Amino acid sequence: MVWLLFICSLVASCASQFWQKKAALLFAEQPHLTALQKILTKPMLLGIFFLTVSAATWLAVLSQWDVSVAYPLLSLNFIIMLFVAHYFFNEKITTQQIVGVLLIVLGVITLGVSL
Amino acid sequence: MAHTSPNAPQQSSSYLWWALASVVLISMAQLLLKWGMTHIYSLLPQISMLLQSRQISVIFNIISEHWSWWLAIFVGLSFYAISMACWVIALKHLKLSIAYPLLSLSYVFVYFGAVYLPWLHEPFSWLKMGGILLILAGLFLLFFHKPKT
Repeated sequence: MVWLLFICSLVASCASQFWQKKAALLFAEQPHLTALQKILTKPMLLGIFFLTVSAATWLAVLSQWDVSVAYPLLSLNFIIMLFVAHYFFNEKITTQQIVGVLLIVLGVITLGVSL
Repeated sequence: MAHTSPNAPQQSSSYLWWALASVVLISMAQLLLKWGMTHIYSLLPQISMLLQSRQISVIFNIISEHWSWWLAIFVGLSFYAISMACWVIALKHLKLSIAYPLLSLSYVFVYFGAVYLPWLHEPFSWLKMGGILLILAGLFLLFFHKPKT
């Protein structure tokens, strides 16, 4: 059960980043929107929605799992986001970037395990 | 031809500051929430006892007496909202694959905050320091590579 919540949190957090990037691209295209209009656009509302879902499910996961397990697993996000950036936004990913992200993931795992 | 120019380096460097601001705000939000929530948690047994005996006015007194903890939580949550705004501004010109890893800096900030801020004073550990160094090394690789022309 907690695994399901964890996956939910992971997916929601990536979805939130996806929609925030979409929102940013939309605002770059339409700079004349007021702040309120910006918040009420579809990508921004979805970004906020998924952020809320991911935060809520994350709190539920943390109440069940030890932080030393939860945090290292959450660092999977850094890897998933490379795929999202590449496949949804056509960003070129270099080997150096991949190594960099792997070092970050290793660092977060080390931090988590030492908690 | 549409000119959706991929990040020119001069352009993206200023947007990097927005991303950094976002990460700093998130880190401060986490430290504030941690500080506020731990104190409020310690109040919960007392509050639930008062609830059972229906001493509502005493509960209000307790809450207003410790206003700084509630303020910390309110400010922390507002920082989250402002941080999201900064993040979207940063994403206008930063690639997601460059910006997203920057969020790992918040682990570094939160760690140093938790260890060095007197009111949190969590213990220092060399293993954690190793983790921090790995994260910084990863970020170094991401941000200091030769731009291909």
